[in-house]
Amino acid sequence: MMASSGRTAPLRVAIIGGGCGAMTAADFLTRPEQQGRFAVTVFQEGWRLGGKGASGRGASGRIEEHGLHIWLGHYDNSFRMMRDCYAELEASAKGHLFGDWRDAFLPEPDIGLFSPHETGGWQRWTGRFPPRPGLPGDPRKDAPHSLAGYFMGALAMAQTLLLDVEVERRGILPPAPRATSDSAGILRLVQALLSRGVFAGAVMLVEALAILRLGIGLLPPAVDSPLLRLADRVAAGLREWAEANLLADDRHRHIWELLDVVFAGLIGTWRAGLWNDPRGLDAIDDYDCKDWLRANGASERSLSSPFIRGLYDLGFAQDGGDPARPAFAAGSGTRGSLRMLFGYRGSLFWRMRAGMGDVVFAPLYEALKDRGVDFRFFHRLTNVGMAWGDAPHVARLEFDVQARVRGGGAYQPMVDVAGRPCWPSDPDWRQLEEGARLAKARPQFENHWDRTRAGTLRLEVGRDFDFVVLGTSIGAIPHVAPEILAHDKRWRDMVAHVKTTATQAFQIWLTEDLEQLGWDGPPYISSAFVKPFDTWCDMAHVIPEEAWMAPPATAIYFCSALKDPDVTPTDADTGYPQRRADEVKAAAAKFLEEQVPHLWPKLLDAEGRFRWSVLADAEGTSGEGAGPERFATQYWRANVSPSERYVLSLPGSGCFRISPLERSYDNLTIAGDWTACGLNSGCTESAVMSGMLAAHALSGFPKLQDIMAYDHP
Amino acid sequence: MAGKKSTTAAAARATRPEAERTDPIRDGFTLGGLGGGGEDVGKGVVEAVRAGYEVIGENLRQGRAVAERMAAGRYELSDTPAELSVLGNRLVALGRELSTVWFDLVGAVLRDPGLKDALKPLGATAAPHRPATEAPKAGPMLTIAFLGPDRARARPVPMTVAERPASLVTAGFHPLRQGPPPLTKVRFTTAGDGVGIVAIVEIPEDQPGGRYTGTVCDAGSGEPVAAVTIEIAS
Repeated sequence: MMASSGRTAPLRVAIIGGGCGAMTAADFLTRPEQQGRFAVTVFQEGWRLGGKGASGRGASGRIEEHGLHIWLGHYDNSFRMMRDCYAELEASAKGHLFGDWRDAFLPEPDIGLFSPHETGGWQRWTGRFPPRPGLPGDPRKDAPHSLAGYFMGALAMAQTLLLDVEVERRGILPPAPRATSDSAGILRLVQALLSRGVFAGAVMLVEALAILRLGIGLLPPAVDSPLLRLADRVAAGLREWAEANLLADDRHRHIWELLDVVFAGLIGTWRAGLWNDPRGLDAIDDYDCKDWLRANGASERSLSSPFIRGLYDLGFAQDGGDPARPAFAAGSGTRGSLRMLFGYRGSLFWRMRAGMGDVVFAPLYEALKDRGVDFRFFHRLTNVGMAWGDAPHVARLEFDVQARVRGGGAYQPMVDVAGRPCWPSDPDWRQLEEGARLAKARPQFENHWDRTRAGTLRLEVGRDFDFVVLGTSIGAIPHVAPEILAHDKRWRDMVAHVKTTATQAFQIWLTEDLEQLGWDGPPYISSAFVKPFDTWCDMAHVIPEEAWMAPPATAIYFCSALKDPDVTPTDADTGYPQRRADEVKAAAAKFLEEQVPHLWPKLLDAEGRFRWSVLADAEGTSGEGAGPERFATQYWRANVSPSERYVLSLPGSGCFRISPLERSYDNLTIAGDWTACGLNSGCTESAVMSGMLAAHALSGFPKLQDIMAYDHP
Repeated sequence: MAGKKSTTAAAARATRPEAERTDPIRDGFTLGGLGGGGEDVGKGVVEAVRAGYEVIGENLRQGRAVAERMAAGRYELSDTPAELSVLGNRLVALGRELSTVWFDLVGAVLRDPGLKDALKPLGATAAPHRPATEAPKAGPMLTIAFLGPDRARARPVPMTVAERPASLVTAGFHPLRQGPPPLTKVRFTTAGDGVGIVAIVEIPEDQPGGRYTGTVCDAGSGEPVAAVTIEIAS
């Protein structure tokens, strides 16, 4: 049990959950700066940490994820935490797990987006975002988080795009004429180009953007300068120019679409007076992103462009997981987009060298364990018991103990794969009481509908704990905190409005790489592809971290939102998760056969049949079977349990989030990407920021100004 | 700052410290140290003007580059200077047409009384074609008179003085919102005092109300000499 109470004893903190928010709180409550003031115990259902970021190792050590996890270059707090963690392990006797953190996180500058083409098939737009100074997690000396700074960045990007266009247009001028060329004809062509305004107009507009950029950066906010008032007109002129010169060109149409969206955002910012609004971008959070951009002049074409669809896809922004109901709060969407495009350092994207569990949660577990954090696996919270009165507080915590460790010791959760500690995809049954029986029954400890338990546990405030960090996802709140919901309208409103969506994912391992299959680009992180699996990524870089006897050439991960049924399944519907998983399997196999060959045409044989034999079988059980049944050797999942569901940022929902800093209950704080954490979107960085806020709420550390981009429009 | 043991609770229960605040600072402009004002304003304006002149230089440079490319072929060498001149002039003219917004912008900045002073002490810059501090010379006033229904008004505006003044022209005054036709029937005459200029604008009976703007240019140089705003009551 936890440390005993006493004035000199550490304050005992019970952290519920093992996701990013909860682990961040554990990290910051046990850092040296706290001088040992807190004794932390983590209660985690099942056998592994990670929450929605948990991954496991299956047959042949293959990595099996909840979905596709990519870190963005603006995840400063997340990177800072992991850099510190890696440095701590490096300095300890354990040494490093993946070498330097830069060996564990790999920069990825490319993104691919797709749009249906008028002539059929798919058109691919690829972008390469240039490296930017610094690395994510470096101290921020320039403090760039202002709308002025972002829009200066946006205008600089518009300049770059226009200049790129000009370069391309130069490319279509005739080559240096040969002796037989017709000089008069060349002159006519050049003059025709000039008369379209492409040549001179682009330069002038580029400079107009430069002026705007200077003006935004230098003018004091109180000056209602003509520069600011005329910005609207500049943007309008830019739109017209871009429409006249880029729209007809397939190659450049996407640039026009991007510019159109940027200008709509710029104009909208001015019109809404966001520059000086103390609410910042929250002032427009009741609008849907597309509606807000449309109201500020963005064209329908731009609003259905790959950029916007990609934004929605990456944020699983579908109410109820329904593609027919896209929804993304304008404030949160704009904030996330600005940070993504103009706040990154190093690279726009960062891939993890192995599973997120391996790269993030294994090192955190090792470091926290060394600091004395007590991990209690197989503990599922069932009730947060409250004491009401003048000082409402958590009086007790009730758990189902899903399994007990043989001999009563601590569960050892890691396995060794290729010399590194990793989380397995299944519990180590041998460590558990009645392990043989459990191994046969194979209970799904992370499945909400599976109520397997070996006993219960009840903790009392004062006796067993002092503080609670509730780090479960919001989807689980109705199931674990009914007493709070019954008494507290704000919590009821939060649960009602901060919605979640189920997600689906599948992974395939291929014996041929994408180039052999007909893909001519770099290994893009790609989005805005066809439903139901609109987002995918080539993960060839993780293969060396797996343990295949005959390694496949690559692995591809697909993911997307998963539509909820019209009627929410009850707790008694124990077959629900399996039904959804079966749906995902069938949809994935169909998608693979019918849609993926658009990307990689050589997946089809000469007769146009899908070559199932290209799927690598980790267990070697399928023999030479080359039919659709071979898909059963791959990996898929439906993330439908309440704690697995992705947290949405729906229009009008942000104001219902509750901050970890709020003190309605004097011994409770909350952590997770569902809280009012500043960023307010479903991602690792939000969860990490929330965990830092939770630690601050209990201890005053870290300082709020040290949580990067917490203070942010 | 760490949690403390409550003295009122029976079991000396620990409680969270009070938070210094519970919300992030969202102010869009003050965050990040941007928006300095003061001396930086003048610096910014000068930079803007300098950039504007560089635009013209860039146009000319590109015109030359194109001409050089053509010259690499069978282009007659003896024709090159003339064609360069044509190309250069055409580029500047096109640039001017395509970027009236930009000229309006710079002009508006230059006329901003709050910013004019910031321009003065900053001296010359490395502008390639004209010194950036060569602020437009104050010229005579342009007064606007109207023919037609008595629904229009406009403030007199000072004109900049062209180096070699010629006659004045305008492409008309266009509505700020889309829809209404522009005001194109305009003629210029000398004011009664012999110093200023009067623009006589014909307002059709059925001209929709709203705000109309446009520039008046020197016909010889093509340089804009005044920006006019007309308001027509509905």
